Amino acid sequence: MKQAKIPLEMIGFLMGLLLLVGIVALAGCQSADSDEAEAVEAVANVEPLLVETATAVTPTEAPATEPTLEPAPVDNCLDCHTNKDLLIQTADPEEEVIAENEGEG
Amino acid sequence: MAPLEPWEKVLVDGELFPEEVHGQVACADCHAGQNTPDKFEAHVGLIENPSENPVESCGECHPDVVATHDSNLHSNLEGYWTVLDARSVPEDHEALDGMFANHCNSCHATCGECHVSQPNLVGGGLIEGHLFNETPSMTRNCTACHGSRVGNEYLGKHEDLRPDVHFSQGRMSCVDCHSGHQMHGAPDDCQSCHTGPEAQLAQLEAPPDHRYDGAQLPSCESCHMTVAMQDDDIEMHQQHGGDLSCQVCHSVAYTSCDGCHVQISETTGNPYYATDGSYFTFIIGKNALESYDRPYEYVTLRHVPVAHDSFAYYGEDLLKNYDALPTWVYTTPHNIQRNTPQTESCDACHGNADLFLTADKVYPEELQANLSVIVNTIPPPIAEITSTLSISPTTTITTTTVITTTEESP
Repeated sequence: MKQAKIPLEMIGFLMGLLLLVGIVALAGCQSADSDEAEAVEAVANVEPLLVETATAVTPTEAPATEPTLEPAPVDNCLDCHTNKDLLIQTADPEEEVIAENEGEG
Repeated sequence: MAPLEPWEKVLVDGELFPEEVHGQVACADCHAGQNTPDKFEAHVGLIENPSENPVESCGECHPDVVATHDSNLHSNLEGYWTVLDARSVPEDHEALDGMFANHCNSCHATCGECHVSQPNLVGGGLIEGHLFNETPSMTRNCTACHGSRVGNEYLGKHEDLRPDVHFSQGRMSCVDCHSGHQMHGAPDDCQSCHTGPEAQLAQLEAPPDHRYDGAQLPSCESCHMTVAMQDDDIEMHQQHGGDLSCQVCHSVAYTSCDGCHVQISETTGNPYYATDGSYFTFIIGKNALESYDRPYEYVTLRHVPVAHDSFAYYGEDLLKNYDALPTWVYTTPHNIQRNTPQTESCDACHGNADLFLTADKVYPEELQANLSVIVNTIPPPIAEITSTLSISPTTTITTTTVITTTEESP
């Protein structure tokens, strides 16, 4: 069976094209690395306070689970004894004490 | 002092109390009871006054104060027993114990009755919404108990009698003279409060046996230093600085009482008392408690309401040594004035028998008890003294030998 013959000029053109694409791709990667290095350097140069601030909001400090709100303990003593109206309503009538003392004591 | 409504007595300040240090402690930690909205159930096991047990309730944070609790006169009421012991014999102490529990023990004051609430003796009740007051209120704590004599005299509640100048002019409160340290007592020995050379000597023999034993705390001279230094131009101070207590010249009429009797009511079962009478007196007598710190020959005397049969309900003749102590006792009235009838002239007192405790003013059954304080010879009028000395009254005053100790000028 007779194979199709590709002209040498075409092969040369394709090889050149592939080489060009590879160079462009490598150049792109090199540019990204360089930006990252610059960013790291910039972070290293900022004031410590800013670094701390940035650290404080890192995702690792976020609660891992949904917060569970514990109900505040009910202090029935204070609830009643700070409520003037309730105390008036529930006050037992004071027994009248008939003083039998005579004279100054 | 108006009585509090029932709800007022137990109303807690919901804003301030939780913010103060005692508000950080759960109610039940001191008061026990149950944490439930039902009133009846909540009060099961309630401790109304936790400081009845001061070691458990207050001692954790205030160990220094609680350490003195047993010697605190407000707690142990030892002053009553000082006179009861002196007037009775040991065989009768059991009967007197019963009397004491029924009638005297209500004067016992706990930490809380000075720092949180009014004393139970006057109905109790929180003073400032359960806030803890480091300094007790003068009228709602101190004179709530010390009212019928000290309070009424100091605050001028008696008709026609001015308040004490330290209150009317100085607006001074009880604690300005009587410190918290004195209120709380001393942990180990009586001499920590009853200071002075004689008290220290007595430590080797017997503890102080009356309120005026030892140094004067407070003393007038600690503020009125010019008098103490004899550095003023008041001739009466020069003349009488050492032989008259300050109150002899600077006090006015005060309350005396007669014949207190105590018993249990047959109708209600409650203890009660009755006094035969109370009246105003200003009486100068001899100083039966003369000491290094109180060298006076003359002091003011007040009649205390004890009688031979004061405790007859509890037993026959329980005061077998009734005559061991006077019934007219050395007193320091809290109604001090700069100018009084006595300061008007020398003869306001000299030759004025009305001011002195003479035998005719003493009940016959109390004569023996008061022999040490009765004035047998009234100081003569100045004219009589000067005629004897053949010098003018002015010369007498200005040339008399300077007295050794002190007097005050309020």
